[in-house]
Amino acid sequence: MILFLRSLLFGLPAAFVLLTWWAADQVRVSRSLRQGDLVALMSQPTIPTMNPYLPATEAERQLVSLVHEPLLKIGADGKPAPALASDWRWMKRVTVWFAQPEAALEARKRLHKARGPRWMDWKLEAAEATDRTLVLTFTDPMLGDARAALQAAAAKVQRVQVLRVETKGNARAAHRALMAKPELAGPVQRLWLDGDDAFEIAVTGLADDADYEQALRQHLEKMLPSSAAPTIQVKAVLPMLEEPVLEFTLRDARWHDGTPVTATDVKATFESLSATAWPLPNREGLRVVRGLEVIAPNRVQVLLWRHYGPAMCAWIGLPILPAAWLKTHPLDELGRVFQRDLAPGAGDCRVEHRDYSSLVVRPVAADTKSVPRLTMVTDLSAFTMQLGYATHALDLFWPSAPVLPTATPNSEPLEKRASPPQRGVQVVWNSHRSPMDDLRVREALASATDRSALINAALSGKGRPHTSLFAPGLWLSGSTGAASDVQQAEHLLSDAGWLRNVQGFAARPSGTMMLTVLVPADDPVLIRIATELRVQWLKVGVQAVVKPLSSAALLRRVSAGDFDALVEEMPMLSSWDLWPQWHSGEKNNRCGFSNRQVDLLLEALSREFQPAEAAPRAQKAEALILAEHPVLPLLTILEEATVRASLSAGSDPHQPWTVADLLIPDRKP
Amino acid sequence: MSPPAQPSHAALRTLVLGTIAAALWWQWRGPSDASAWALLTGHIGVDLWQDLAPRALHSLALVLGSMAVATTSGLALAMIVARCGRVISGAVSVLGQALGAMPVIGIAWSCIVWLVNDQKLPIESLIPYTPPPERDAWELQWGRTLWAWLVPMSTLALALFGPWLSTCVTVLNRLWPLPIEGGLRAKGLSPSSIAWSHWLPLAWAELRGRWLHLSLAGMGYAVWVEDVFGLPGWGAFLARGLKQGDAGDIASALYVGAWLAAALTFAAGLFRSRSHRHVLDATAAVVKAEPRSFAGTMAALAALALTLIGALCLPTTPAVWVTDWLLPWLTGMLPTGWHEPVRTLVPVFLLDAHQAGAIVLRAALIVPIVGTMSALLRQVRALPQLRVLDGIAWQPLLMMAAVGGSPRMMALLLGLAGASRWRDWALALHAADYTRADKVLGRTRLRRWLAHIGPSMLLGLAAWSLRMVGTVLLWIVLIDSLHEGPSLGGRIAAARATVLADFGGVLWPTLFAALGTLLFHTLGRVVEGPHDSSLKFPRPRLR
Repeated sequence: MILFLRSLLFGLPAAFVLLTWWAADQVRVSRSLRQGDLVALMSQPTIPTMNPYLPATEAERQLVSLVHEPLLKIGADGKPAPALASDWRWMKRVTVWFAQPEAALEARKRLHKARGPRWMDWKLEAAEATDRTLVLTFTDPMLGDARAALQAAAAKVQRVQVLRVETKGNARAAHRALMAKPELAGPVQRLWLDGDDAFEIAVTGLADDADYEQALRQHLEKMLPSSAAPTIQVKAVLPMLEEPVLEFTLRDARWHDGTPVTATDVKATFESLSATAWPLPNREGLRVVRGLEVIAPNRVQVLLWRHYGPAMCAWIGLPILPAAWLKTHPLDELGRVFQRDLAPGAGDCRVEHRDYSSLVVRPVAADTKSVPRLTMVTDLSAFTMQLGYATHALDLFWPSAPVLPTATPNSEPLEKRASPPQRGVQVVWNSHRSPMDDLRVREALASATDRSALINAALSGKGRPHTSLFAPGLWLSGSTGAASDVQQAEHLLSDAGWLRNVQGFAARPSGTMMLTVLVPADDPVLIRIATELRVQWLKVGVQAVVKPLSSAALLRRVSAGDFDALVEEMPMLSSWDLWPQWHSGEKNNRCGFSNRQVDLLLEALSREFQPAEAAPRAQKAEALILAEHPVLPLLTILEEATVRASLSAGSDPHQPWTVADLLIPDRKP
Repeated sequence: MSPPAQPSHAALRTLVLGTIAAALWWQWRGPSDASAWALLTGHIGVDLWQDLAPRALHSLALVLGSMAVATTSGLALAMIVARCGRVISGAVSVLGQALGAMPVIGIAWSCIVWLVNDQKLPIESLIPYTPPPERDAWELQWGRTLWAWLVPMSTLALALFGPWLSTCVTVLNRLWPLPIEGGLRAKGLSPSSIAWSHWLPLAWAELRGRWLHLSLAGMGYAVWVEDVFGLPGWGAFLARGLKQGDAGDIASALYVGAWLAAALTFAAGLFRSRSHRHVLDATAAVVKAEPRSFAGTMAALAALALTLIGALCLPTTPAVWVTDWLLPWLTGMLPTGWHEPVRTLVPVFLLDAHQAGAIVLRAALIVPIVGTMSALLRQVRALPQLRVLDGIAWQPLLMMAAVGGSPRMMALLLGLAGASRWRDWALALHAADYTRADKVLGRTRLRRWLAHIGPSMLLGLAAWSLRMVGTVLLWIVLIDSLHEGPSLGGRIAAARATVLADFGGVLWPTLFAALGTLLFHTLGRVVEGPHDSSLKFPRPRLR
């Protein structure tokens, strides 16, 4: 016992000291093996979860874009460019149903007899008969002439009825109930789930005296809770079903484990994402998808339920994940699956290691001449930055250091680089209330706004002027910017009847102009911008009161129209669909903007399938909208990284910079 | 300072009181729709089991590892120095007290500065680096992992080592020479065998209570160690919550902290039961006295309520003339040749000491009332006894939460904790031989109280208050070090950004806090006197 006690009291501290000594030695050796690896400090409290679809910060977004690859991306010229998909094209699939299989075969035969120039006129590519159906594939989703082709085939088709079933929160249960009853499920040829509240079906082959709608209603009322009584309406009765199809051809790409990227992975990714409610960019483009069909290992077709050309934009920048991984890792609403396990990617870099305090990324290509690896560590403390800088353990403070390390005589200088903008700011005018209902007043305030001065004063220079409705650099935008002109602003105000009074404020006989500018109280950047705007507008005599409000109060005031201007984060649109924000019949059109010509343009744009064709129309729509000044796009906010001078040598400090410039300098943006 | 006696079912009390504290925090400081039940089931935005359970395990490993190193090395060193004479052991004891008085955050920064500036070693937990697999090896992986954990563990062990060493030296000195040493020598036992088989087990009877109390304090210190070293533990989570003022995080951390403290207490209870064979139970003796009247109990209860309300209404901030006139005057009076940071820190230290003093003053008002009430209720068999006091006295986490919350809450909890000690003193004095002798001689209750009980009680209260000022000062500095501000702790927080280049920014506030704490603790010991310890803990005797 005495021996045990002695051993414990003297042996344990001695063992602890020896172990610590040995560990220190091993750490010294570990650090000596760094050999050019980069170590970066991220200004976020925890290591990124690497959720490819919901990156929390700019740093995580850039890491995700290094590790994961989408089907399409935005190229250096601002246009959609190939990524995993080497090629893509739009088509149209038309399906018709016959009473007898023989009739379908006959129709197909007659069509094949007409093969030649007529097919080219119809834009017909293929005609296939299966059982009672004839499927025609056209090369153009809009110009494909299905009616002419069917007339040539002398096809006597069965009518297709499209029914929409709405039941609050019970769409999936209603769908299951429908499919469980064979006499109701039999005629259903197509199904499209519109979220949790509704679904649409295409039914065919009904008897003339059959009341399918009534039978379906009775069945669902019986199967669903009384509070979720379904509403059923016939949306259309058609001779055929037309479905736009977007076909992707995949390049020979491989996941980081060496297995090939296939069309099955694209399908699995879509199906997994459909089950979540994540706010993905251009989510509407995924919502209209009825399903994906794998045509070949490297070809996948995306079938749309309705004509919606901007659906292509949903696949721009949308990372694709392996089907095998998704099968074992079902996506949950909170994205915890990405916290537990890293999803393999097909990008230029792979995550080599991740633990609670560090994440290591390295380029996949073995012959890269750039930096071997990048180790990310996270901490918000200024001390860690000092520590890393003083011990030469950090090369990059990313995306921005709250406090810059103090340079020591032996330390290398640091340089700042700005990342591509991900946030924009705009002013929304209330054009239904005086004085903002006067175009001249809106135009005057736009002229009085000096964006560069605003960026310098409110953001310490960490921003770029922005004058477009679209994200900066996109091929869709035609806006060239607007310079500040105080004299013109004063002139416009005078024209509108707002003259300066003795105190120098814009006034009418009825009183001085006093604007109420609302701003979210939880965003200090927006509050600073609103305050600076107030100062700028005061130069032309316009007084404004900045009111920071909570989200709920803000929503209430905006819904009630009780404001003059709202400073808010603007949606960085990367699709040519401007309908939700600017169509006069759209409830999201908060400005109340209404212009018949713009409405027609937006309707045309939503049915435009070709990006190149969409650009001039989008530019025209943008010009028409901005001419009426319903909003005032102001600026985009940049995040800065601080890099050791030797690492940033050769890069233009005024150009957007990402970590990819360090790891893969040869990669084209 | 000797710890309070361990109550029965200490683990359960710790858990229940910690849970109540967390629930109250969430209910009062959380959003308007905060529900205590939601907190307990982990539905307040923090997944208790997925997010906090691994963190709690990390913290438990850190605290237990540190305690193992601190207690073994402290006891070993104490065994050596206790045989080197009273002078050397006294000096070592004072050094231990000084180390124990240093805020753990100052110790942590000192360790980092020494490792980085002097030893040129990285802090793996803050800026980890993993070589690529082709250059890595298993021993390097183990070395990095161990380094990331052993450095914070050493820091925490150092903070716990000081008070433990001091206690060990004091206890060992008090027990030496053993009354039965002559007999044992006559039996042929060597001095070494006597020391290891009799002296040490006897000392352990007193030390084990202190051991558990120190481990609970270590759990509190882990908050700052984990925060400084960036460890993903429960303490870092609580520190983040306190920094950001996130009621949900704080309440969740308190709740999980209650489980942690209960686990530590339970483990210590098991350890105690295993070591019970060798030592006597040294907890305070339960004294039965005559029942008191029901009316008297009710009157005392009313007095208790009035005292609580009065104490809570006392101001804790100094008067305007103190801050606007006295402190600037005092700073001006200091010699200009003094080191400038020291000059500027004097008024800061005085303000912190004032706040600690105000808190303890409030607590000292509560202590005699509640303590007497508790002693009275203990004698009224028909009424439930105020057992909750024992739990509060045993709950350092509550103290920390209270300091993080408000001075009033801190004073209330401190007063309730002190009342438990007051009650034990009162019962022990009533049961003392000389008091009983006076009773047999027919002296009145008042005379007995004036002759034996009153002076000891008031002296004990004064000593307790002085010691508590030191302890509260230390905790105020620690809590304030999570936010930049004008206090000593705030100065430490502000200086951390440049600590590598200018260590003085952290060193001077740390030294001020340590000296202040040490000063008040020493004053408390002086007031208490050298022979008073028998009132707190009966001396153990051999079976």
